[in-house]
Amino acid sequence: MDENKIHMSTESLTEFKKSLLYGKRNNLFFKFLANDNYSEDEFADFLETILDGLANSIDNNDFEALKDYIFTSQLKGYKPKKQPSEFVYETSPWNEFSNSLADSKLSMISTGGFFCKGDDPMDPPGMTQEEAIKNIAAIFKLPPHLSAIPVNTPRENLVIRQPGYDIRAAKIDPNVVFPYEILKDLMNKKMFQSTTDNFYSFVGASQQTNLIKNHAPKWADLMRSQNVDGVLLVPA
Amino acid sequence: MSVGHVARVFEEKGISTVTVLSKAFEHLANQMKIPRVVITKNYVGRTIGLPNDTASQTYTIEKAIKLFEDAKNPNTVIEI
Repeated sequence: MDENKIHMSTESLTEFKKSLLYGKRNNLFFKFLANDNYSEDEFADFLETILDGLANSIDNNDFEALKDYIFTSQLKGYKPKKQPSEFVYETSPWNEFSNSLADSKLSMISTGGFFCKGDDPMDPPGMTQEEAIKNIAAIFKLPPHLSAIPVNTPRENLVIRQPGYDIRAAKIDPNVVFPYEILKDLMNKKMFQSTTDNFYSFVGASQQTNLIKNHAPKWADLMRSQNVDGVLLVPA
Repeated sequence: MSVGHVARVFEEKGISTVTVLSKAFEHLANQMKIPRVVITKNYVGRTIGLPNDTASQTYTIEKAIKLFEDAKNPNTVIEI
């Protein structure tokens, strides 16, 4: 074998960027780069700017400009390129919040895919995040399951499995998308009176029509049965 | 998108909601006419704030909870 031979990769830059979305370089933080909002040239510009900004940030020990650039890039990545054709509504349903906040009972639902140890909604239980990512297509087709999480659950009893988003931050601190400790703290400070015994979570990447017709109405009944005044909704 | 559906169903069934969205999903507030929305300048997957940044997380949730009382009209959207 000629050791001086240059080994040419056959992978194009477009193939590289597409691999960030459930491909061999899956990266759910940067998956927005894989879609059509970024051309190959724009992707190349992004990489160049990131590398240049990283060197500057290291030298200046200041990463704010780099973080801002990534944030702005994320906005571009998620911006719809055309008018949506489904789930477009003309009016907003409205229930007046009639109680005073100080006397109110609140609950919270997160799409972060949290559940308690021993209460895995998957059958059979035990699927890892990595396995869920590999089975993302099948998981999208599952009906949504609402997991009840007692408000005093210690962090070590919380499990996250949600193949639709980058769960790194939530593993460090669940409050980034499941702000249960923040809510309890504000309740203790009398901002509102009480919470439900449980907060709730489901995997947002699920059957949307089934969610609208069958599951969300039942979840509303569950909230009404607990005399809830308001529900905080947190997508991941 | 799923939280927008839940918000709409809940309001129709008599339960008030506040939805917190990362700015990347801001377009959904208008598209789905979500009743009460707080837009945060946070990354996707860090909707309420960065890990262990309790001050920022608390600020977000305080603003969200106040919106229950402060919003007087459907599809009230504030950015923080």
